[in-house]
Amino acid sequence: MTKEEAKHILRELDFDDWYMAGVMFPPKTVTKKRMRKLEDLTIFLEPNEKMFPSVQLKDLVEWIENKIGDKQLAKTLKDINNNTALSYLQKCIEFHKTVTSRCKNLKEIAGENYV
Amino acid sequence: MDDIRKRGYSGNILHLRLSTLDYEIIPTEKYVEWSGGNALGTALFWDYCEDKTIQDGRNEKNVLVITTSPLNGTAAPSAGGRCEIVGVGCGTYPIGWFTRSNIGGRLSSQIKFAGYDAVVISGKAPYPVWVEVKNSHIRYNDARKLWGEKARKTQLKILSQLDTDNNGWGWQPLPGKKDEASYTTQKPAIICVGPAGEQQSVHAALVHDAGNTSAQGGFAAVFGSKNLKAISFLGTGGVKATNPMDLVDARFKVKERYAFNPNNPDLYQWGRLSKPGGSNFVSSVTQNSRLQSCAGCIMGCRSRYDVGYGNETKCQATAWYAFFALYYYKNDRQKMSEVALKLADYCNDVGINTYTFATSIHWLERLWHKGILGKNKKIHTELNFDELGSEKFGFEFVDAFAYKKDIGEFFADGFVQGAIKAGLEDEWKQGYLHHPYWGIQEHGYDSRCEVEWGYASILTDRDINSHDFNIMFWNVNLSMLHGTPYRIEAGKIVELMAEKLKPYVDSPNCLNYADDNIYSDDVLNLVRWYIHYNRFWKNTAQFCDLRWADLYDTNAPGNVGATADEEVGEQVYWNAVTGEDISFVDGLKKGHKTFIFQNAIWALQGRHRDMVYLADYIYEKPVEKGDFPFFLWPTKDENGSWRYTDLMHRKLDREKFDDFKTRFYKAEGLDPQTGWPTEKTLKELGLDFVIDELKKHNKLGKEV
Repeated sequence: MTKEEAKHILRELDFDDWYMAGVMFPPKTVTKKRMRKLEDLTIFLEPNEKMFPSVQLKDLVEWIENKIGDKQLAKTLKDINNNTALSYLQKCIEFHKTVTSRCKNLKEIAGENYV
Repeated sequence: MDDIRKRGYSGNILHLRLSTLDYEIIPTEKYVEWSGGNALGTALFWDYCEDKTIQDGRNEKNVLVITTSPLNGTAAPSAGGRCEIVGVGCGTYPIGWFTRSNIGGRLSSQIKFAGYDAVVISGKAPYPVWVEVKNSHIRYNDARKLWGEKARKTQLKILSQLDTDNNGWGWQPLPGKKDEASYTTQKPAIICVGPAGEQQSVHAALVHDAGNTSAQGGFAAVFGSKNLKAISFLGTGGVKATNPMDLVDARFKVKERYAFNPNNPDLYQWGRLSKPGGSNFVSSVTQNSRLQSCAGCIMGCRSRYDVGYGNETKCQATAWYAFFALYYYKNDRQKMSEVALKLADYCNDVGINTYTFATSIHWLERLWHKGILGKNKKIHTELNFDELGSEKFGFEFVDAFAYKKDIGEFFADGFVQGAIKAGLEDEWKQGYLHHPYWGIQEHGYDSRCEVEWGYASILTDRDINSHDFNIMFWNVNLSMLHGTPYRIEAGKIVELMAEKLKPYVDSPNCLNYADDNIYSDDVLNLVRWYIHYNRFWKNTAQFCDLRWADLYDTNAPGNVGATADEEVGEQVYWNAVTGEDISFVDGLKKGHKTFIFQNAIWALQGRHRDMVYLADYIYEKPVEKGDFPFFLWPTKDENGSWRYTDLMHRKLDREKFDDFKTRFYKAEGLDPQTGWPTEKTLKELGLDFVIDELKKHNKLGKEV
């Protein structure tokens, strides 16, 4: 992957391509937050005892594939999502690990000071 | 002591006539047939509001009623501390309906201890006032120096003023007593408005103590329009139950059967009554806290913290801004909690409804990025939405709505109203603004999936905000989320619940949320039960929505819930306190009567069935992604097998819902052509006195 390709995947999208993600505060409510770029998911997907990601993982993978443009990451996440042995929250944890690791690698490729 | 005071009533109704700054006392005996709460409030509104055609609660002719239940101030489980408010509201579209709201804390018990079952508020004070109620001592006080104060300071100043001896201990001198020892250690319960109510914004909330608010209905704006800053209640009386031992027995039985073990709570419990208490939604900023509850509650759903902020905040107030803050502060969860709790505190202090922000802030963010909202844009704002998530922006945003400036002024009459004013009606119709019923925000549960919530909201007057069936959604979906087995399988849970809904329903098919069943008569009858249950057992008897209805419960043998149970059901506490001998279903019938009564008021206000429809996007667009990972509800397949099914991507059918509405009106005894009550129905329910008024306005429904 080139530096430019890494930067492209890490870029902030145009508003129309932002992903509206739900955040569940069980057992009472769901609030929402728009995801502007891939790295936003590292916060969104982080396991937490009081709030959970509340999205359809299939849609999220499609967003990564089609809007973010990271087909390789999308393929890995698709495989995790298709693993019927995992619960939804376990999938979210695996998604989090994978996306976090991917962002770290992309930033390294993009350059040390890439924000 | 007369009979009524031995039956959970205090005996008097206080009528505050603001225009003349005087009052009258009405004997409760005259209204005891209305039981209390919502029903009593409706009857008092009917008698004291001379013009029932008004369409905005801020009209001077409006009458507001704060009402209690015989159960308030007693040990009835999670029914002792609620307080109902009714009157013409504001903020709903296209008409500010006669509506209701509810508030917790110590308010209703202090009202009753002071000797009153309800407070009728009519007219408009010539200048800002606050009212002091100490037992039979009623006094209007000049509130001009309080005008502009936030809720906390308002209450502190009133407490300070009541403490006329300045003893500083919070001991209240009793009026009329000369003896220096004649103090009470009771702390007055104050209901007040902050700046938002004074500004008459429909987003304003009434506030009592730190975290009890009444927001839906826009009644704080009504307070503001009446120049009413606050009412303080202090009482030294008590509440008598007819059969106190029956009440105590039922309390012990319900504890034995349903209470969770605090040393080993079942974290995956299903049901409502035995759910362990909880606190705010965001992670706590401190471990040093303890639970706090309304008077007489068995739960404790809020907390008090040693950090000095966030006290008694709960629910949406702590959640609506949290995730924005989490991103702004780069995943600093401690800071997120701090901002969320401080902002929740501030919302309560200025007296603002946070539910109104929960969906609207995302829409405003959209308008900002679309170039519609901004400096010198179509909707002008000085707020910088690029700073959304910061503590500073959060406070500025709330301030705008509390002080009716900037976008708070533009949207002061409601977001849908503002959208229409800006020529952005399509933003609402297409569902970018999630306001599905009567122009107000979705509660979080999409009407296209959770149909009973949407149906009951649009067939009444506001967001129904009652989690009787919704708890099943949470139980089932959280099981799926965690990958844990369902505690109760779909086929069993519908049997348990349907049993509680008899005789309204005759089969579990009422809980079949499949596409081909959501317009059926079975679902229709569930919705009727839902509305009637709310109108009586929740809004009139005032059982708290966080505990009731208990339609199934894994803490009890056979997973049978407490609702309608012969030994621990709602009617047991009602009968023990009032001495009546009503069945659970009798209560539902009373709920029906109140609902029809309210339909008469809505008809006078201008309601017609043609305006009773959900927002266009509910029929035209499937549920959008992002709300939930799945929306599992019980469905029955063609073989009669039950399962939990994901209902995502569904939209409603406009014609089928219209037909559903027709059948609903017929079943309720309303004219299906108009939705107005018919003479026959009114007579059958003992509402004859309504008929002439409806005739006078040509609003009497034709017989079915």
